[in-house]
Amino acid sequence: MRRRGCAALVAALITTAACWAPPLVDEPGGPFVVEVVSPDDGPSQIQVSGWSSDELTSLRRANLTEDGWTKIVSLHVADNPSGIVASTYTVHDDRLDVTPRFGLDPGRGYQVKIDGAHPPLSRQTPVYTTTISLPAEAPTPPVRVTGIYPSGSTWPENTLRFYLHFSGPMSATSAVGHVRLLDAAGQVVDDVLLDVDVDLWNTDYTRRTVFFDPGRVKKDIRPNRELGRALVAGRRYAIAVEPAWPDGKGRPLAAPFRHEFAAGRAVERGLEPNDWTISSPGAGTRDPLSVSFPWPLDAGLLERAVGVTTGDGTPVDGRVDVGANETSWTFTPERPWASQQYLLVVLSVLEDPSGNTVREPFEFEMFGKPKPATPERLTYPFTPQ
Amino acid sequence: MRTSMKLGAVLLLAVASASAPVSAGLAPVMTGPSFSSIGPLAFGPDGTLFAADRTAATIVAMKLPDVDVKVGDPGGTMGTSDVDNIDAKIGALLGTDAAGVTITDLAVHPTTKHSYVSVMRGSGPDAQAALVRVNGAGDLRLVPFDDIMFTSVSLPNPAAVNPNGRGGRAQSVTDLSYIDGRLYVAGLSNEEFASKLWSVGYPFTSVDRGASIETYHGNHGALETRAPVMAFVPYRVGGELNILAGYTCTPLVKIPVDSLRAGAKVVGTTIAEFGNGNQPLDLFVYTKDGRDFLLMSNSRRGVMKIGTDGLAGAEAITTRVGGTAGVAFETIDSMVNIEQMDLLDADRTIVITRTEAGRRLTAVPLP
Repeated sequence: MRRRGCAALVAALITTAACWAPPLVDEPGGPFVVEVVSPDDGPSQIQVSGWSSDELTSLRRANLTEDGWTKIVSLHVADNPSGIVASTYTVHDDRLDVTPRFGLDPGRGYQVKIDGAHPPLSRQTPVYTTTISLPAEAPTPPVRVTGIYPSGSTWPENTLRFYLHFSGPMSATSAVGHVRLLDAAGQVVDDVLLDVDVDLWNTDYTRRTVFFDPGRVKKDIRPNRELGRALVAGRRYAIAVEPAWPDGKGRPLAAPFRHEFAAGRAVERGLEPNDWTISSPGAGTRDPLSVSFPWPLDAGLLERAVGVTTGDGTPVDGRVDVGANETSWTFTPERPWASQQYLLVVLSVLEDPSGNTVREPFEFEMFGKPKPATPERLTYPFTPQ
Repeated sequence: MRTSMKLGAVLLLAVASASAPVSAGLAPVMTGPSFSSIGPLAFGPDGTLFAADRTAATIVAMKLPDVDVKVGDPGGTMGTSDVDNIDAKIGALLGTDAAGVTITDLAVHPTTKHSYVSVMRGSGPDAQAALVRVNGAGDLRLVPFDDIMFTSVSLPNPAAVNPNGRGGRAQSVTDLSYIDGRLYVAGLSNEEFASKLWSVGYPFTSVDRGASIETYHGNHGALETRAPVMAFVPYRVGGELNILAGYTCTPLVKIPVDSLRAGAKVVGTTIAEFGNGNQPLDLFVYTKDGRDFLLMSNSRRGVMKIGTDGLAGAEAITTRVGGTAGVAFETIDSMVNIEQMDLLDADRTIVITRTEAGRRLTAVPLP
């Protein structure tokens, strides 16, 4: 059953009920009634009634293209009348439905124009124009920054990447211009972030990846030679997020965000799982398997590049938690550990925030020495006792 | 009871797993592609339009309706005419305003020379994908997806070991291009930093449907760099098909296509460096006065014209060298604020520029 309860506006116009008999339509229609409906289970529609049965029959038989329909009924954005809104048209027994292909924006005005004189219609009335709109959405709290990773107070001076987390969906806009690196005096450090026109959001737009310009992070290539690294060990900085960054509804953020940190020494070596510490859980318990690292690893990759399988490689269901400062990782199984061998699995794509991967530093002297062959998947057995 | 130990003290099973089969999935020919997002675009020579769906990590190959490829079709004339305020006009077509749309790419149909513009209406997770055509009369027309025949191929799934991880990885596609029966796709993840090039046979009927390839390029510091490819074009250098790729931090790199094999780590040749703080946006090859040139638009360094004469002689950098090397280029001062660019015809490029009054679609003589 169609819901009409959301109708925002009903517009009507009394048209002349003339006695003149049109050549194509014998029975004149009544006044047009334009109603906008927004069912929960379908797209918004503009329903136009007031047609005579002859008029509807003529419209149905005319087999109009979308272009042809727009000569009779057209929809326009009220404050952007530079075109006709692409729509589909459906003739019913008692009305014509106009369905905008991309829906209607809540709160936005739309103008509906109906030319009852355009063939196959033949009313002798001027073009009827009315404005409709859907109710504006109820206001919701604007989005705010909820966290930043690396979360620690010291970032290596060769930090390549950080993540900003948000309380709700953001717009798909770039971070450039909204995220800045400030020095100890609060001055903006220019040309440090990667200005790419690439969507680096997660799929629900609540996490944005921001890269430092890799050309400045890497040693000896031209941007690095000319400008040096963005971060210098021993100095203090802040990542500042400007509130003008629009959220998913185009509103500014609820508040500015600032994360202060000190730049530390560069981390220029590959991750070596042999140096990690593992705390094996007890058999029959759901105690977490805990792994700690000598320096912080990438918060995003720790979620999917480290896991647990049984000895035959079957994934074990459980919850991953990344510890404070991203220096530890725990896995809590859904079911108690059995007295059997499990495997801690580490994928070689795991990185730290400086882009170092398992056994392979971000910067590798490629020429003059062979590149080490790192397996894509490292496994480390453990047996709960 | 818990025990603590160094991982190195336990038996290390460093299993070199067999390369996981490429997880790209094939979809049969269907009608009405459903895009979660759209852009970049690339045409094949027969008018097949390839479009990347970043959210779905899928490449869609569309056969545009005949009405769109016939000369003198009801939709308008051949070619593309200039459109002022194209963002506002696209907004009106999609039921919103200029601020409500984001233009993600621009590609010219090889036969009709109509311009196709990929657009996201709205922002964030609820945004909708749209395709708009501009014809020789400057008319804008929505290209509905409903009746379009298409096939699609999924990009390889990212490596993951934890099935319940709350990771937020997404695979952006930075550029794609078709040549000699294969589609090449460059991408950038929002997590691991790796240069990825996929090569996918088209039609998407082959079991060997592409491979994930890590590309390494030697830079002047002779350090491995895994910077992502931002724009590229296939081009024959000395009879050998190469990918000419513009990277972040703006080197131009030559990668022999023959070296692109599944799992291969390819060493490309850096043939030019164009300066810091800049990203390549679009790149194509054109011919003028019997010579081939690259035209590359950039985020901050304008448009660069690069003669291809010197590409064949560009040697691979195998030792650390100082200073700036590479092929010569010319910055085209008259082309500024360009956000999208493609080759329109033998004499002109079509660009979308950012102006104070809005975005403008303009045909510009090739430099």
